[in-house]
Formats: sequence, C-alpha cells, structure tokens
Amino acid sequence: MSSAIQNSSDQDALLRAGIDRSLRHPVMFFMTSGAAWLAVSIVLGIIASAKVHSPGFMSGCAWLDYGRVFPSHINALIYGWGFQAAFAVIIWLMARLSRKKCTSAGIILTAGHIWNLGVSLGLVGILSGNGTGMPWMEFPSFVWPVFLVSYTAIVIGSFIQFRVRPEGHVYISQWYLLAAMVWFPWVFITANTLLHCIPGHPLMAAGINAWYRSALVFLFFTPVALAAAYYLAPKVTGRPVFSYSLAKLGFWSLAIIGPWAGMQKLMGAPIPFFLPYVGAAATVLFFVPAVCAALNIFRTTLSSPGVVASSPSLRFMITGIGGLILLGLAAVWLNLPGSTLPLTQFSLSGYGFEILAIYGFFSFVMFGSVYFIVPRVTGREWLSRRLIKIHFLFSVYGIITVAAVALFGGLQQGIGQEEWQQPWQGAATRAYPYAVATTIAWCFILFSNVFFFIHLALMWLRLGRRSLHPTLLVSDAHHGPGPHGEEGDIDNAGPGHVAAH
Amino acid sequence: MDPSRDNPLIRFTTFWWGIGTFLIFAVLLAVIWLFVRPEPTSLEDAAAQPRYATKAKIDAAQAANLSPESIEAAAATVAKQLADSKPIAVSIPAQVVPGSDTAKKLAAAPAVDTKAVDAATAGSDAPIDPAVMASGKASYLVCSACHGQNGEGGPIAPPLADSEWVTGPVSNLIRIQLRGLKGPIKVAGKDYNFAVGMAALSYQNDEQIAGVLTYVRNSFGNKASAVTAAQVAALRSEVGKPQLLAEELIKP
Repeated sequence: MSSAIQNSSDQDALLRAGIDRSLRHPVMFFMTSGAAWLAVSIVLGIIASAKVHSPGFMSGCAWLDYGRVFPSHINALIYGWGFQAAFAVIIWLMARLSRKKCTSAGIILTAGHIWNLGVSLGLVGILSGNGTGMPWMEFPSFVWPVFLVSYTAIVIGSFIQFRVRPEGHVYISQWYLLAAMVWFPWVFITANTLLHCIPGHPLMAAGINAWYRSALVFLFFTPVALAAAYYLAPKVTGRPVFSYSLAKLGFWSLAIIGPWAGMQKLMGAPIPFFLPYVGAAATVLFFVPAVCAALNIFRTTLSSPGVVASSPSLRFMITGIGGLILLGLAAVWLNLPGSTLPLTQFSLSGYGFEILAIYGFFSFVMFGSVYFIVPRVTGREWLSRRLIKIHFLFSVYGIITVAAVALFGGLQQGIGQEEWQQPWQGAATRAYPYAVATTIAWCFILFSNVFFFIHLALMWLRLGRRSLHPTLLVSDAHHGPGPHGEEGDIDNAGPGHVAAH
Repeated sequence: MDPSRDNPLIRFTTFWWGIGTFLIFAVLLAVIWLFVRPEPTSLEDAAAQPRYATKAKIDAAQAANLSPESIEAAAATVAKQLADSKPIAVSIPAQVVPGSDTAKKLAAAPAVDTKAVDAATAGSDAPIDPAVMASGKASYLVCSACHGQNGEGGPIAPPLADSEWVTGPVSNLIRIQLRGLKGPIKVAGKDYNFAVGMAALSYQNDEQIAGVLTYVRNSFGNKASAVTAAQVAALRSEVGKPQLLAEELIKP
C-alpha cells in the first residue's frame, strides 16, 4: 500500500470519525427517544387492539377509551418513533454522504427536545379528550406549528450540508433524502393549513386527511427508508448498486405516483368522482417504485448471502425491503375499486396496511440503520447477539401476523359489513379471531422492542463493547472477510488502528 | 474537494433558500386564501347562510346572558301588556270558548225547529249507498273509542246497538254530534249518567257526519233510514252551543 493512498484513507477515516462525533448526541437522542416512544405506542396499541375483541377491557377509565387510546397509539408510533428515527437517519446519512461535519448539533438537540415535548403534550391532549379527531393529525392543533418549526431546525443543517458538499457524485440515497426533506413540509403544511387555518367543506377535509396519511407514508417514510437501504446495501456488502437506471426509474415513478394516492379512502363519498379513482390508481401503481427499489437492493445484496446472514443491519434492512414488496402487493390487492376497495374502507385492512408500511417496511429498515449507525457514533459495539436476534425474530413474527390480518382478516370483516341484510354482529364475529391475532402480534412486537430499547439505552450510556470486532449474528463470521468493507470493523477505529483483518 | 463551495455566504443563502423551499406551499396557500376567497356559490352554502345568521344571533343572545334582575324588572311590563291585550273574536263556531260571551249568546238563542229535518228523513226500507257506509265505517273509528267496536257501549258511553235513540229521529243524532250530550239518559230501558258526557264532534264535514250516522243507524243490528248531508247542513247553526241534555231531545 503506497503512502499516498494510506494517507488519503487515513484522512478519510478521520473525516468520518469527525462527522460521527459531531452527530453523536443528536443521533443517539433521536434513536433512543424514538425507541422509547415505540414501546409506549405498542403498549397503547395492545390496549386499543384488546378493546376491539374485548370491549370491556379497561372500560372504567375515560382516559383509556378506544377513541382516545387508538389515536394516541398511532400518533405516538408516527411522530414519536417514525419521525425521530427518520431524523436520526437523515442527519447522519446526509452528513456522511455530503462529507460535512454537523455544525448545529446543539440546535438539532434543542429542536429534538421540543419535538418530544410536542409529542408528549399532544398525547396528553388526545388522552384527555382534546384530540382533533382527524386520523394521524389527532394532536391538538397547537402542536403542528411546533412540529414544523422543530422539523425545520432539525433538517435545515442537512439541506445546507448538501448544498456545500464537495463537487461530484450525488448518491441515490441523497436523492431520496432531499426529496423526503422537501416533500414532508409540503405535505404537512398543505394538510394542516387546509384543515386548521382555511376550513372548507368537511367532506373535502376528510379527503385531505386521507391524502395526508397516504402522502406521509409514500412521500416521507418510504423515501427515508429507501435512502437508508440504498446506503446500507452497497456499504455493507462492498458492492456497487446493481442498476443505476433502475434506481432512477424507482425514484421518479415514486415522485410522480406518490402525491396522487390517498383519496381512494373516500370511494363512494360525494366528492368529485375522479378523486377516489385517481387515488386508487396511484396506490395500485405504487407497486412500480416498490418493485424497482426492492429488486435493485435484492440484486445488490443477495450475491453476498453470507454477509446478509451475519450482519444485523443487513438482515433487518433486507426484511424491511421484503416488507416493501409485501406493501406494494397489498397496495394492489386492497385497492381495487369495485372488488376489494369497498371491503377495506372501514375494516382492519386500512390499519393493517398502515402498520405494514410503518413497521413492516419503514421500521425494519430503520432498525437496520440503527444497528449500523450506533456503533459508529458511540465507538462501541453492540453488547449481545442474542438481544438482536430476539428483536429480529419477534418483530418478524409480529409483523407477519399483522400483515396476514391486513390481507385476509380485513377482507373477511369487510364482507361481513357488506352483508347489509345481516346484523352488524356478523362483521364483528368475522373480525374477532383476527383482532385477537393482532393483539397477540402486538405483544410479540412489544416484547422484541423492550429488548431493543434496553440494548440501545445501554449503548447510549457508553456501555457497549470496546472491540474492533462487530457484533455479528453468525458467530464465526469474523474469520471471513470483514462485512463492513475494507475500512475496518467500525469506521471510527481511527487512523492509528490497524484494520482488524 | 473544492473549498470555494463551502463558505459562510453560501451556507447563509442556502439556509434561507431552504426555509423558503419548506414554506413555499404555505405562502402559496396564503395567497390563494387571501385573493381567491370565493363567495358561497353552491346551493348548500346559500341555504346555510340564514342558518349561520340565526345561530350567530342566538349565540349573541346567549352570550348577553340576561340577569334574573332584568327578567324580574321586565315581568311586570309583560304581564300588564298581556292583561291589556284583547282576545281576537272567534269566527269559527267550533272554536267558541265555553263560558265566553259568544257561548252565552249562543246558549240563549231560541231552540231550532227540527221538524223540517225529520220530515226529510227517507223511509227505513230505502236502499243505502255502500260508499256512504264505507266512509261511515272509517269515521266510526273515533266513535268506537267510547261506544265500542260493535256499538256495545263502555265505561264512559252508552251502547249504540239496539238503542231506540239511534234508530229514532235523525235530528237528535245530528244535534248530539254537533253539540255533544251530558246528563242522565235512558237507553234500551237502562239508566246511564256519565260524569263528562259526550264532546261535540262538529269538526267533521257534513258528508262525514251523514256517513257515520248512517253507518251507526245500519250496523250492530240497527236498521233505519240514511242520514243526508243536507240534513246535517240544516242544523249547522247548533255548533258552538253547550252540550245537550236528554230533555232537549225529541223522545224516540
């Protein structure tokens, strides 16, 4: 190895270590508080789900009414866990890919605390009966400007980092990150302004709300997760992305299709007739960007099956991409006007589809990113292979159950609801076993995520292993080639260290 | 790396570009809201406007929150206005208030001559129009509440079946329906005296009264001549007078 290359590689490692150090506190704050909110959300989800099949469960407490617990569950999941995980990934990935240190960690951390305060106050607002009643926007309306301002404070640094990056290549991950960063304020401001500041016809408000939910999934969570996947797949396997043009097709088809989806939830309502049909068409077409991205990432990683088996990041990420395929199939399967769409409008399917998107796809990719990022920003390795395995297996079992309920149980319930000559009890009876299954699935997911949170909190307390060997899921993997590329086991080993192998 | 790309000026301008990009849709929406605020055009909106106006008025009145003192102060004035107000004279005889001046005047009026009405009664063997019977049967629903489904009578009314009054002079029946009846009465050899008596049912028109009386006279084992609307019309002057007594009727 010539000294020039050694020197440049050392400088590179120093730069990476510097970036990681500059982002250590914000990234760990977002991940840990996100994981805590995830656990809170799942507890609320178990209560809500139990009330579906056992209405008497905890019925004595007004604060735990289904009408309050369910919205607080879904809002904690989205704004507590989903957004904070996304923030951690956005700020870290954008800094790494733009090769710029973060100069505003204090501002980001402050904004992160304000965001968390907003989530807490919002949840208290919902549970005390002051929710707005608009799905995914149930937080009392004072919360949304707070969210907007703290969001801007958190990501504006990444925007600047992208602008002042060194000349050269723009990574695929950066397309998706930048798109998500700009699309979210568009979606958020549009929906909140139209619903809170310029109230129009209530029917159209319901349509805007349905669009907001869909846009949040397709235009924020999806691009952030794909950015992480397009980073992790080549990074961990050490191979280039399979096809650049396929990635382009996936990105632009998402950009063109995503914004139209959502209004199919109002199929049959007296709003302009084309809107639900456009929404259904766009949701069905979401299959195209989903398959483009999934195919690309599978082709990038599956030529290295050993790495996929041993690396926790890759295993979670690949499972999440499997969830993306399933999400694309479910988008087709559940949104066919005239056959399945009427059955899914008011049944478990809608909820199952959203959980599949947020947990089965987005969260799994975020878990993969967490398992990749945390050792780098803390300079410690994960404590226990077994904890990671528990997290993985129970989450997979849980989410497979939820997906099965979404695809079949919701349709069964919908068929029961459509039988208008039969008593409503019939629909409830059809949904009963699936509701029980959902509760059990949430219990599995809670079990897995309590261990995840504990593991993460220990890492944040700098109690991770001081080692150059990463924690891999297959015990003898570190005798083979390093799974995290040539630069060493973890990026911030620093220039003074010899590579582990 | 090109160091010229990363300088404070570019960072500063990018910051504001970023904020602008994030807020561009808010600005767009604000412009739309400010300059393209349409008047309500749909029928629904137009129909809703008066309702909103009424609601605003009610809300304002409720917000004004009248105090008990102000209500008490106004009570005397309102009571005086009510006491001074004159009732509107009744033009429809059926609406005459019992005990009022009009009712006293009507009660003091000379008894009507029913001879012409009874003389106009057809023979008991004359055929009866089934349509009249059908309409009478429908109207009898009201009568059956007291007189029974089959005219058998009840705790507050005498029987109609086998009643000599029913098959007797037509003028009796018409006057009873137009004025009501009270006091003791002997029906089919049995004495009755109900506390309230029968109320006037003069709200029905002549055809209806004729129909129901014809029905009563030809049902429950009764057989008598039909009652005509003209006979009822001839006795309309009875409406508004106090309830009849049995003595005022022609003995059957």
